[in-house]
Amino acid sequence: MNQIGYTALLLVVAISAYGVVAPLVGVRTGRREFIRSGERAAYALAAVVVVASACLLYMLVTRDFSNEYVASYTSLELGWAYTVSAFWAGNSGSMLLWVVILGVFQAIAVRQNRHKNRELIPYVISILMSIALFFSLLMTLLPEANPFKTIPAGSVPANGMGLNPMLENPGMVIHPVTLYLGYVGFSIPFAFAMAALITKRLGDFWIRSTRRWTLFAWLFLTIGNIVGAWWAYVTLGWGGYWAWDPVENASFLPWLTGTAFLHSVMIQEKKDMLKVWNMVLIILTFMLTIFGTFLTRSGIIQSVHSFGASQLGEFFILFMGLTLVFSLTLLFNRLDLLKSRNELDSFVSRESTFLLNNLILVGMAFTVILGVLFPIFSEAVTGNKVTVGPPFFNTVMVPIGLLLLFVTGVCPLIAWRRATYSNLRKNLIYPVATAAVAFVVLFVLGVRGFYPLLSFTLSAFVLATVALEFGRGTWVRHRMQQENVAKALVGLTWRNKRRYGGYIVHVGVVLLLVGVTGSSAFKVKADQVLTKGESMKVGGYELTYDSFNSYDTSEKSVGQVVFTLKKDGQFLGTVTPVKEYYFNKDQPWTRVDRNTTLSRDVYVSLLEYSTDTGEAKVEAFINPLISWLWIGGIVMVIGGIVALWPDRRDQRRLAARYERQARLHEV
Amino acid sequence: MKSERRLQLPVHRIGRARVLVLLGIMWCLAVLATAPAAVAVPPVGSVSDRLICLCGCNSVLSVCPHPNCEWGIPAKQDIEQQLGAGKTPDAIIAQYVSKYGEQVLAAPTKRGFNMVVWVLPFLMLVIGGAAIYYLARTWAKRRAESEAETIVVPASVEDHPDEIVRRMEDELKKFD
Repeated sequence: MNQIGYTALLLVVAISAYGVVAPLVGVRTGRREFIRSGERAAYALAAVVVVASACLLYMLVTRDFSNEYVASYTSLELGWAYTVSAFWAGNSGSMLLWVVILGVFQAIAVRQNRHKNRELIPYVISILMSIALFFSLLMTLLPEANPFKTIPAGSVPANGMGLNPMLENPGMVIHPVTLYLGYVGFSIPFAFAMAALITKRLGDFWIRSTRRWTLFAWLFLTIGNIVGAWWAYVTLGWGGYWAWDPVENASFLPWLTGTAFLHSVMIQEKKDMLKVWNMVLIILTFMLTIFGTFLTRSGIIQSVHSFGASQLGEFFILFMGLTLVFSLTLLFNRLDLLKSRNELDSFVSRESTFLLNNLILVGMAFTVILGVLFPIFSEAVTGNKVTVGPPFFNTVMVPIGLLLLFVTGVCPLIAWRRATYSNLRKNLIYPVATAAVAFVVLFVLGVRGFYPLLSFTLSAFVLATVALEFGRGTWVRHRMQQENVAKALVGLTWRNKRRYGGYIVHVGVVLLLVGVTGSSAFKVKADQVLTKGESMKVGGYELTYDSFNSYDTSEKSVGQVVFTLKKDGQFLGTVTPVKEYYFNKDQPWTRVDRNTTLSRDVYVSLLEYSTDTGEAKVEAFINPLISWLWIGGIVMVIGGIVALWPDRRDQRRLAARYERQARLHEV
Repeated sequence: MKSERRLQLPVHRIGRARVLVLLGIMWCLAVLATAPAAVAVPPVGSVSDRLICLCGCNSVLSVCPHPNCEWGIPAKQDIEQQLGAGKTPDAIIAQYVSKYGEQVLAAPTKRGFNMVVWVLPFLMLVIGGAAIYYLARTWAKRRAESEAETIVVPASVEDHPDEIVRRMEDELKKFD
C-alpha cells in the first residue's frame, strides 16, 4: 500500500506539472485540445490524489505500522475516529490533506466554469496546478513530508506511538479539516483573480463567478477558528480559549482579510469601484492562508499548536516569495486597466461605512501581523529579544474590535448611495434608545468597567439595528402579501439570502462578543490543595471533594476526582476532572470537566493528585456567559449557510450575463 | 412632499478633518491609558499573568498548558514564595527581567523602540481614517460634478466586455 500511495504521489507531481504547462500552451498556440487536456488533468489530479489519500487512510485504519506516519500517530488502542483524524495529525498527512482538498476543489471549479469562463479557466487551472505542484513536490522531495515513508522490515514496531493526547478530542477531528477547507477554498477566488489580471478581464465577473467559493471558504475558516477555540478551552485546561498564540493568529489573519474582502466586493458589484483594493485583499488573504500553513508546519515559531518542526520553512518562504512577486507584478502591470471612475453619491452613505469596515478589519490584521513579527524586528533593530503576548493583543485589539462592532451597528442604518438627516435620525432612534436602556440596566445590575459596559451596550445597539432591519422587511411583507409574521420573516430571509444571511452572521458576532466580554472581564479563578471531604470556594460556588478513583490501562494511568458542586447550599451537580499519564509518550495530561449553564461555566481542572494520601491540587474557574461564545459561533455558521444557499434568481441573472457575454465574444 | 435636507452635522463649521484627527488622538490616548478590564486573580496571577513561560510553549506563565512544565511550575512556586515573603509583583517582575531579559515579559514595555508596536496600529487607523475621509469626499465631489456630464465610453472599454455588459444592464434597468 505504501508503494501504491507513493506512486500516486509521483503521479500527482507529474499531472500537476503537466497541468501548469498544458493550458498555457493551449492559449499560446490557440490549440483548444491542450486546454481541454488541462481540464482533464484537473479531474485526473483529483482522482489520483484521492487514491493516495485512500492508501494512507487504509494503512491508518488497518494499523499498518510498516508506514512511519502510521506508527508515529496511531496505536492499537486508539479509537477509530481518532485513527481517521491521525490523517492530519502530522506534517506529511496535513500536506496530503491540502492537496486532496485542492484537487477536489479544482475539479469542481473547472467543471462549473469550463464553458462559461472559457478565457479564464486555462489560467485558473495553471495557477491551481502550481499550488498542487508545490505541495506534492514537498511530499516527494523531503523525507519528513512524505506520508508513505516505510520502516525497514526488521524494525516494524508491534504497536505505534499513538496520538498526542492533546489531539484526542472531537474538536481536533473537526478543526484542522474545516480550517484547511477554508484555507484551500480561498485558492479558488485567488486563482480567478490572477486569471482576470492575466486576461485583462477585470470587470466583476471573476468576483461573481467565485462569490460562493469565497463564502464557502470564509464559512469553513469561521468554523475552524471557533472549533479551535472550543478545543483549546476544553483541552488545554487553563480556563481560556484564545491565547493569541502565533498559530491561532495565523488562522485568524486570513479570516480578517477574507471578511474585509467579502464586504468590499459588494462595492465593486454595486458601484464598480475598489477593483485594485479587492485584488490586494484576495492576494493578501491567499498569502495569509499559506502563511498560516507555514507557521503551523514549519515549526519556525514555537507554540503549543506547532505539531512539528522541520525543514519545510525554507520551501514555504520561497513559495510565498514567488507568489507575492508574481501576483504583485501582475497587479502593478494592470493598474491602468483597474482604474475605475470612483464616485460616491454622498460622503455619508453605506459605501463609506464599508470603507471604514475594511479599514478596521485590515487594521486588525495589520496589528496581529505586527504582533507576530515584532519580536523579529525588535531583535534586528535593538538586539533585544521581546515577547508580544496576550496583554499586548488584549490592550490593542479590544478597542479596535469595539470600533468595528460600532460600525457593524451603524452600517445597516445608513442608506446606500446617500443618507439624509431625516432617514438617519429615523433609523438611529430605536437602536440608540435600546443601547441607552441596556446601558442603564447594566449599570443598575452592577456592571462596571469601561470596556464591559461599552461592549454590552454596543452589542445591544447592533442587535437592535438587525432587529429593525428584519422587523421592517417582515412588516412590509406581512402587509403587502398578507402573510403571517413568521412566514413573512422566513420569506423575507429566503428572498434575499445574501443580505439577511449576513445580518444573521452579525447577530452571531454579537453573541460571540457577549461571551468573550463576560468570560474575560468577570472570570474568577481559584486553586487549592484538597483532601477527601474538604471544600473550596470559587466565585460563590462551593466544590466539595467527594471521592477519588485511579486505574491503569495499557497506555495510560488515570486519576479522577469527583466533586460536588453547590451554590447557596443547593446541589447543582458533580464534576469529575481527570489527570492522565501516558506511558508511551512519558507525558501527563489533564482532562477538565465543566458544569455548564447559559449564564456561566464552572470549569475544573485536576492539576496533581497523590494515590497515597488522596490529596488533589485543583484549579477552578467561573467563566460567565461563555456559552454565548459557542452559541454565537453556531449562529454565525447558520447565517453563513443561509448566505451561501443557492439563489435561483441570482443564478439566472448570472447565467443571463454569461450568455450575453458569450454572444458579445461571438460578435 | 417634504423635501429632505442633506446631512449637515454641526462639526463642519470647525472642520471635520480636525475633529477626526482629535477623535483619533483621544481614542489612542484613552486606549494607551486604559489597562485591560480588571480580572480578579489570586496574588500569583498578578505576576504570572505578566510573564511568558520560557518552556517553549509561548504561553503566558499562568496558563502554560504543560501539566509538568519544567520551567513554569518552579517559576510559579518561586513567585508564590516571594509574594509570601512580602515582595511586590513589580519587584519580582524586575528580578525576572534582570535574570532572563525582556523576553520574559508577556508584552513589550511601553518604552523606546517598543513604542512602535503600541502606537503603530492606532496610527495606521488614524491615517487610514483620514485617507478614507479624503477619498470619500473627493469621490462624492466628483459625482456631483459629473452628474450633468454625458457618459462617454472610453476607447479602452472595448477590451473589457464585462464593463460593456454592466453598462448595458444599467441602461436596460431603466426600462424595467
